[in-house]
Amino acid sequence: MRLAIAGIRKYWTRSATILSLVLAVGFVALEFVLAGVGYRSASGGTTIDKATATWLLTFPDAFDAILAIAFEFVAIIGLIYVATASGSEWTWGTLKVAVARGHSRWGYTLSTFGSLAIIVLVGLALGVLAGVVGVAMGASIAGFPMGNPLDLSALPQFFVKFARAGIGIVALTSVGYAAAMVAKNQMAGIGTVIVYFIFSIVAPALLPQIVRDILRYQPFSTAADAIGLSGPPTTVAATSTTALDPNVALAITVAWLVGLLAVAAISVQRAEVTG
Amino acid sequence: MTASTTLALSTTNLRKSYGRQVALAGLDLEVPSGVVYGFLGPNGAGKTTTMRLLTGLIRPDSGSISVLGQSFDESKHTILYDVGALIESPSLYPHLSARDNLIVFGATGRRVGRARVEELLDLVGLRDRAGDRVSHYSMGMRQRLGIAVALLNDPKLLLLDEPANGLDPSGIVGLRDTLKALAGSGKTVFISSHILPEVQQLADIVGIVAAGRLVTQGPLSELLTSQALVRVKVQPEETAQALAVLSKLAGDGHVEISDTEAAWLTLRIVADRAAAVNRALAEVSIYASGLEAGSDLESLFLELTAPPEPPPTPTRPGAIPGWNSGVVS
Repeated sequence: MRLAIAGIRKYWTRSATILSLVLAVGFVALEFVLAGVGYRSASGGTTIDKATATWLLTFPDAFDAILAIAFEFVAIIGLIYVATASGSEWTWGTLKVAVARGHSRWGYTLSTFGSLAIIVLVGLALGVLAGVVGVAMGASIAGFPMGNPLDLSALPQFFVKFARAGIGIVALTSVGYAAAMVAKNQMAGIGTVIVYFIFSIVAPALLPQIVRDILRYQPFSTAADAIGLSGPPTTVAATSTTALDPNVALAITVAWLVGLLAVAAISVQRAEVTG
Repeated sequence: MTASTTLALSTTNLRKSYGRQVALAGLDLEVPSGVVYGFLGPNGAGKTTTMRLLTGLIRPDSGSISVLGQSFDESKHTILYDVGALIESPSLYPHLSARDNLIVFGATGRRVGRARVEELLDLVGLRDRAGDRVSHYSMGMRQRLGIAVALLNDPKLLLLDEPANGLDPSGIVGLRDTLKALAGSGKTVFISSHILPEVQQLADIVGIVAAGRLVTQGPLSELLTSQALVRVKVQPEETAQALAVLSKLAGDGHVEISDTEAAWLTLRIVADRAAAVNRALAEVSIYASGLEAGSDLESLFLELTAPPEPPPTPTRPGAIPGWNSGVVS
């Protein structure tokens, strides 16, 4: 625990952390503002329809929209951020210091991921807050009633979905973590997650159905399905041909998380630390 | 070492290869407790590989390591709670301050309190810049912070790889005083270094490694005595007679003409016998026009680590004369 807290201390002050959070928060808010702008100018020929605009800009439906969009942006940015931050443990040689100080490699690997997971979850929470603000701004621009974001009948369901999104985000960032730990290199980790992300978006559209059915079980798809969102599909959700049952998707997502952390830990355990 | 000597560190037949490159070919070290041990060797001799093995960063192919009286391998990582290490260059978080680096590293291994962090900032002279980002530090300041990290857990055994790197003269003096004080308080300091005069001033015991093997190990004073030299300059026409006289004094094979033109002869005898050399020459009416006595670690190092004479080969275009190719260090 003390190492996880120290980890938050060391990551929180990194410019990469601040930049990643600002980007995620900014993109989420911007999405809703642009939705409002798009709907307002719909008479001029833009494509956003009223159903989509309602889903995006009116509570309680907007909770799902916020979660979907915050999940998408925080996942993408979080993947790259985690690969960057964890890869730098090798690049800077700071893993070497921890090992030479007698810290267990397993302990260091898992607690470092714990620190990064907390930061990514903070990013998701800030993304959701930015989404609420964005919805308010977008609804105002579109001339929509935004509804009540504090609707007590909708909030419990929202928090359940938020928790599921959190688990999904943490599982997704473990892809970046495992990549960086296996590659033992910051840039290799970043490159791997970018290739993975592009593949997970592009591949379903290009590959045969049987492959797409298999790709439903890759972390990006299962993590998105695990949230159990309603409404228009997001880009991420669209990667699945048919969404998995949320509980099944959640179980698979957790399995991915455990498996990827095991890969990272075993890789570090077996590594010769020469940097 | 005698059987009764308590060893802070020892290795037995330690071997390590990187692919086909042999870094250590059976290293046997014995480092007694409470001494400063100078670990010397040319580039590629296996010094850094040894340091990495001693801290569990890499695994040996074979052989054993004992740290503070306990058999050490990677699974017994808590033994390292009593070891401090600075291996190669200091590894630090560049975006954190010196204080935060110490706090963050203090969370690894054995827990370290804030008071210790502040104490170390004073010890390494970084108090005034403790809040500045390490990315703004000079190389010497980073080195000092790296030493502070190594000292965080008040180690019984301190492993330092080139600790004087980047330090200014006052920093080197400060480091020397600190290390001497640590050894004086019963701690063991193991230093790998290329700066031989520095090691000569610091070390009680020296081990010299070459091509992955230990070539000598022992108290520095004994090694230097065995390596003592006296150089004497005579008139060129008196060289042969002087050689005969001095050979009687020093023994056959212990005298050589080191510079025929300038008529310098070199005797391998204890330095404090320089007066006897002068007297022996004077008795046959040869008066030395130059006399140098001394012994130094550099001579010992160069002699022991000199590669065997290679068969003559054509010089490769672009090769720098006198430089061996560096291999794994």
